[in-house]
Amino acid sequence: MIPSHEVARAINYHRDDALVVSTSAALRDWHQVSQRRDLDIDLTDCMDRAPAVGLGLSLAQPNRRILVLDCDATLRTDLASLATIGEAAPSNFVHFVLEDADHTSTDGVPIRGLDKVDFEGVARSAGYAHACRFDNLEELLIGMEDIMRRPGPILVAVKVVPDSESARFPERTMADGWAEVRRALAADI
Amino acid sequence: MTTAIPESILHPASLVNELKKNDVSHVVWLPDSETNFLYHMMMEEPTLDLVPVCREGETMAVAAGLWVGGAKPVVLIQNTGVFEAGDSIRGLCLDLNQPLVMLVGYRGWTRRGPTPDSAGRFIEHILHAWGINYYLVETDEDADRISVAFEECERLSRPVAVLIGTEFGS
Repeated sequence: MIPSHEVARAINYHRDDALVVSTSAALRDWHQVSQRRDLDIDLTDCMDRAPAVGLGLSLAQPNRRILVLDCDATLRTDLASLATIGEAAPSNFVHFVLEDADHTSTDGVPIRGLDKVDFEGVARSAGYAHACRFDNLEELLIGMEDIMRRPGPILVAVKVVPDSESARFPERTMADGWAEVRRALAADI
Repeated sequence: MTTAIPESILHPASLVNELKKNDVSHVVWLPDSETNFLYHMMMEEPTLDLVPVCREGETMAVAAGLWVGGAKPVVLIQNTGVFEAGDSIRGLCLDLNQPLVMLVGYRGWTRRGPTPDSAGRFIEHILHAWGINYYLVETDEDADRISVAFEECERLSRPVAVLIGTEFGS
């Protein structure tokens, strides 16, 4: 089990100029460590749509890495997105899925029948180029370099214990954040 | 004795020409039973990239990602898909002021007679409820309404729908 804020820090260390789409509990950790908020696409609404937003970005910005910071609770409400991404096969797409060992999004209650969804297996069969899993921080830190170098789409499942419960969502509104990213990308052309 | 009046039809080329005229980069869509001719024409058009999805709600999110990344997408779905995509239209189109043209197959539309299909009966009410303006396209002569929709969605920074009220002719 890895503290969720350590996962955010590890991703931030390897981020470079990647665009980051984050949602739900992953967003609460992410916005506290990110040093490029002008390249962060926050999803505080429609949280199950993070992979699809990431796919659109990956097609519009094929020369940048797109990192999607997703959660198990949000992904399992739209598993079909894995098939959509597998079919589109964007090589610049990395999909992190934080699996919350404490089921905090459902107040500690595992959802019967959905608690053991094998996201790695589903991603592989849907056409992702690579899928892997980490439940140890040291292995994640070692593995990140390879993850950021490989052609995607890649799914990285990480078993976490959330430590952002007291953390808030960003004060920046979703609309303001997206407008900031659009300005940053337009200025970069 | 009655004289048969040739019925006007909508050719896929009319729609594709409108997309080209408005510099559309991507068509995010869920194919349905009435879009086969259109699919082949879009596949042959080098300026358009097709992005197929599994569920209509994804179309709005993929389009939002394309838009924030600097591309110019449209979505192409049936009216049943608008119902399925409702929360994404609210959260990712209306609340983000996304200037998106939604091309919507008008299943159940009958210009004359009763409309037994609830998909046809409800769609305009749903668009009214969300404050989404729309234009009806049934024939090649109507196709320039698609450009009107593009002008409006960009001027107002909000989604505008185009209801395709006919099957595509070959």
